[in-house]
Amino acid sequence: MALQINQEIETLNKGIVPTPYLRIESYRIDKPLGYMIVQVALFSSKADADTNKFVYSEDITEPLGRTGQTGPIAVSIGYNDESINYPVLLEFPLIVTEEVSEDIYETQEITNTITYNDFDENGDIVEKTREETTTQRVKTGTRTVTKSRIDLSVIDGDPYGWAYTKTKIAYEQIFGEGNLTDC
Amino acid sequence: MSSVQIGSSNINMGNQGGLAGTGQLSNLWGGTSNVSLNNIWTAKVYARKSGQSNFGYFSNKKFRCIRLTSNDYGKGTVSFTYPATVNGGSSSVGDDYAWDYSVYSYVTVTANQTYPYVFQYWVTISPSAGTILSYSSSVQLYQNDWASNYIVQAYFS
Repeated sequence: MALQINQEIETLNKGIVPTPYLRIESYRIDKPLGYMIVQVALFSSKADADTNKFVYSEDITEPLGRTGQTGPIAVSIGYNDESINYPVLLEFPLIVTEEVSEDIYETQEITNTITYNDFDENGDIVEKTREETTTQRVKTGTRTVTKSRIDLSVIDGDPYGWAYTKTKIAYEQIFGEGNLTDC
Repeated sequence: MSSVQIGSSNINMGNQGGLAGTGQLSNLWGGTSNVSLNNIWTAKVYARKSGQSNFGYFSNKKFRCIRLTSNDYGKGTVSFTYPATVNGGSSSVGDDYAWDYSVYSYVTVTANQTYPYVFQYWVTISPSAGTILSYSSSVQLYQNDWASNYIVQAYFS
């Protein structure tokens, strides 16, 4: 599962690349913040991408065994006569929008009558009152607001397919709609 | 290449003072000038989350640093090309960058030869010198390639 970009780019380390090959290198789901974070890399072709991975875990420890691993296309590329950095890290929110009711509060001054005991000139207890003004936070109504609720289930059990769909949309904003094909 | 850790002595949160001291709690936060991050954070190769980051963001992050050098900058220069393009020009590169390998599984380093000189190989300088890493001018390095201060050199002749 990958994407082919049907647009020519100029690269620093792999020359002119007519159809760059976009591969997701890693996925990460941040559950508390509600994000899927995707790391991608561009290669000159599928064959180039295939050489930049391992078959066996043991091979990772031997640098000289990485024959043909020339890395992805350098992040700075030339496209449409402009120099750009292709995005390596993409963050997709795992959310659904919903309307929620929210309380409205206001700070109000409230005057209360306080009853207290005192003594008169004869030393007898008498009941007196005084007024005391305080500020209080008072609910004055409700309003409807649109909020983004974190919902990991939007992935629908297929994080890989979901991530590729989102990545395709993100890259279409750079290279143009319809210029990426699934491969 | 080394792990970059925020040690307990690297963040100065002020002095709580003794039992008989005054303003003990206020001393715990000594103001923003007492809390600083090393310059390494100003130029970074790590995942930036949306919105404002705080100290909590750095929890459980795994950073590596790597310095790329050339045996002769007149014969060739060195660069990072992935996950960010950083060119060293006529000097070494990497000291001001931290690589978050909890996000990026590798970095690509690239040697750029200057005609008529030719790139020969990437070789380790520190912590142990002399190990040939690759005869390819552009190579991927993984976090398990090193365990301490890591310096690699592109050799041109």
